[in-house]
Amino acid sequence: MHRVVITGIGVVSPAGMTLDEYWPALVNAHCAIGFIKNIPTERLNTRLAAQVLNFETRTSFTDKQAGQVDRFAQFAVVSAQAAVKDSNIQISEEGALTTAVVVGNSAGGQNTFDDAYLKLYGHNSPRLHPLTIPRGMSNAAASHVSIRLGLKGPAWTVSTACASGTHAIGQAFHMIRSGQASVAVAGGAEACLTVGTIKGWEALRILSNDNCRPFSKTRSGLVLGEGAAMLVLENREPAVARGARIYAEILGFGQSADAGDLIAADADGCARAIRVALVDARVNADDIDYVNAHGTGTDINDRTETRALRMAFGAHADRLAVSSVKAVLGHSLGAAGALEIAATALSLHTQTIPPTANFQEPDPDCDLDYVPNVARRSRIRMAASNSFAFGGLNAVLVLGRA
Amino acid sequence: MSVIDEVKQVISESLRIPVDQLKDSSRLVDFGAESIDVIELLFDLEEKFDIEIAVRANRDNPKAAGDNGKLDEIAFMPVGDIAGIVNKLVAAKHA
Repeated sequence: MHRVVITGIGVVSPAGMTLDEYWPALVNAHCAIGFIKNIPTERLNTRLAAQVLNFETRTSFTDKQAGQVDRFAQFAVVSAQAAVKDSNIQISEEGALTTAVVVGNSAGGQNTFDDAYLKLYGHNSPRLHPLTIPRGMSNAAASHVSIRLGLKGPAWTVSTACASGTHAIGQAFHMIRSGQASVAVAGGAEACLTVGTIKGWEALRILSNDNCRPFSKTRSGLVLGEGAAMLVLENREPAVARGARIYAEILGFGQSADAGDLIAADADGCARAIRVALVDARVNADDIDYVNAHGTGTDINDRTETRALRMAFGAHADRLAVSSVKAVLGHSLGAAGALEIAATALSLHTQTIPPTANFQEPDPDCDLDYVPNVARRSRIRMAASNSFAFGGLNAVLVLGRA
Repeated sequence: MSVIDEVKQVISESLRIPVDQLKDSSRLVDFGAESIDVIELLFDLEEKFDIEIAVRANRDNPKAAGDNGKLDEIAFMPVGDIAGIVNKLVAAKHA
């Protein structure tokens, strides 16, 4: 069994395109949620989203190339290139053969499909663009990352809705740990802030129209977001040998299915994923100091997650620091887990817990320490990052200080 | 057909409940309706009557909550009261 470390992080986020923007925004609770700007809003009841504004593709794509790649895959490529640069790794031609690419994504190329169907049904167009399918396919992000970075090992997409990014990084971790891959570029990417997708979310009646306030009594729902985070994962030994900067070590990965309700999270299923991750990491519940929560800001998630944390951590739950960065980043679905694992790794690296922003007042049903509004310098030995998806699919990663 | 009968018809089709079992005092929860069933029913009522029923799945919040309360309250509401909400919205549409 090899030890696995995170040596590179790249983000495309509503709170910034570089770690120098991203991490201070989380630590200082600079909420990146705002009025919807990138798409027509006259058909929407929803006014808010966490958008990646002014996304610049020119450093990664020519205009012609950019036109061939959906926004979610562009996010993946730009963040993957940033992660590899950040890690300072040189991947040889031989090394590329055993470098894996695992990308979490929930909705595929929604911008491509939304535009195509508007043209087809709205404008009665007799034909669609010939790249509609390859642009929109869910594996486009994994494909473009492998193509642009020349990575020729295992490459695939993981789709588990809101847990996709966490499942992707967890699977990449297991591949390196078991020796199936030497290096992995893994994370999540999502860009589904289209009229069609937002209308679908509106119909579920769980979107907030006045901000995302996880764990707060006044919470009013989730706010959709978009973005990507890609990480470079390496076998620890060669990483140490090349003098790599190590953000954190990945210690364990746990997965579970609720096998119950399609939409409503189940505390038992979530708690099982946490327990499996702790067992996989061979650590005890009281080794964990910080939990980066799924914390969507919906009534049911935040209550259920609190209950799950109490079930999995027992009395130690009262000593845990728990925070949700979705108050800053919105909920970027398939990218969320990856952006949050990036935050968890940075938290261990800087020994600083990012707060739960927008926190107003405690809820008797959410009675843990949510690090409200103000970041905390704290000794963090190990941390967990939770993701609980629609469909009852749960993923939890346990990270340790480098 | 009165609004209450039309509402019962929609509930019957949406939740697969025989219409003759639906009394004005029936509650959806008595037929095992879960939150997703209520969300689907609200959609069906909105489609049928061309109205928008403001209900949020989330905790009441002065700014965010709909006029008609929380989603889980709908499941406990007598069918007659659900019809009342629809009636009011249909009347407002024609006003």
